[in-house]
Amino acid sequence: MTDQKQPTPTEEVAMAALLQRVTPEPPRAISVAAILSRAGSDRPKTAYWARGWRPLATASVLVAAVVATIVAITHHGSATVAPAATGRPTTHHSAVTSPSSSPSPSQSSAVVTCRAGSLVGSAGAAGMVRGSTFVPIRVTNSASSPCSVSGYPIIAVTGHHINTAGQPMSAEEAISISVQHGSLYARADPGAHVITLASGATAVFYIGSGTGPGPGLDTVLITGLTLRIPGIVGAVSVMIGAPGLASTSRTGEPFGLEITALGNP
Amino acid sequence: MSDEDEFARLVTTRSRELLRAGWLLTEDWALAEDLVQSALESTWRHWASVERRDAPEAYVRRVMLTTWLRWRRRRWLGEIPTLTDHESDIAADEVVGNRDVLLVVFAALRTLSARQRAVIVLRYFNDLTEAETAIALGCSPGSVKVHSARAFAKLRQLPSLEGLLNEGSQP
Repeated sequence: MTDQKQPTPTEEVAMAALLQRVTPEPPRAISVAAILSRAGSDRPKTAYWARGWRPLATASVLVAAVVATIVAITHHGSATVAPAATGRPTTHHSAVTSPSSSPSPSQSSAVVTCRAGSLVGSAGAAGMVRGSTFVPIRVTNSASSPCSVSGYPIIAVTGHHINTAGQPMSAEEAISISVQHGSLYARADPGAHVITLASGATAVFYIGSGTGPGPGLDTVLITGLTLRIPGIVGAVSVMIGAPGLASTSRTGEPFGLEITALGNP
Repeated sequence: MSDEDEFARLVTTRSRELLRAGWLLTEDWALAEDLVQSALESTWRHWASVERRDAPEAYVRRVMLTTWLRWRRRRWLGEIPTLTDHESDIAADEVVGNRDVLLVVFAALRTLSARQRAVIVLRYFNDLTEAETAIALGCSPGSVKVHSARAFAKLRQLPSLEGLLNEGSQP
């Protein structure tokens, strides 16, 4: 009989290391455009349950319209009241909403844009989901009055090149990066919008690296960054504590990072 | 973010690992690409419901594994490629370590059943939990444990692999 005991932790670690060791980088990347063009025409626009109910909903609206028309014709004598009753609410509604919506721009314009000198940056603990690492960067308003920030910060980073054992191979230096805006694997992007920060309040954005170590790749450990916020003159420096944020790239290419827009913590 | 953007992000961030897992299953980059592209196409066709379940990568992996297991049942992969067959796909210096290591690993994986091999790749290359592996294979976590134990029972009997595993477990 074969021995069917469960693999030991040592065997599991060794197997994982061996499989990573022998598996090279793919020779070609998968093209999003090719998949969309091949599958696009077959793609349902909505989920099956929504597709099932949509015709029913359309039919219901049509039936309601026909019934309303019949009722209006049947009660022709009282039709002078009905249009007035149905017409007013819509006009009143729009008349009411437009004044109520006008104060909000004036309220937001009353809050000034933050100054770089009054913003304090700090990095939270790095996290990892399925090999994708990310680190939250917090921006706190240290001024005594409220101010606003918005958009995707523009970042420059410093760090060390490291070897496969995680040991630094260079002094801290500026790292060439390419930045993509949008959701990380582990964190959704709130999208660019204005955030009003009361005194002491904090906004947060996330920087992520979706690539892991592999053959033919350089690895860098990002330990510091300088961020500029759109519309604000000046920069905010942030130190990223251990273990830092690792990123990989093919030799000679910039290191790919993803960032979300500033959002509420 | 639009559906296209969300889907593009999934492809951009995850296709590398999916391709590498596909290569460990099929031993051939062209087949691995077919496998991943088929799974991604299916995912895009069902994007509305996939996204609603908030697990697009799990869906891709499930389709990928189902497709590969079907290939194996139909013996489309009856002709097992040798390293020589796809050497053109892999530059010599891209095989980390040396060619012999790769030969030993593939020879070892070929001794396993399709599901045992899938469990080894998903659990130890993709680092999935037993529950996640079970979802990808459409079986119970208990079955994953059984496949894993049986796979290791076979692999322990291969002296060439034993040396590599001991070497790999060194700090």
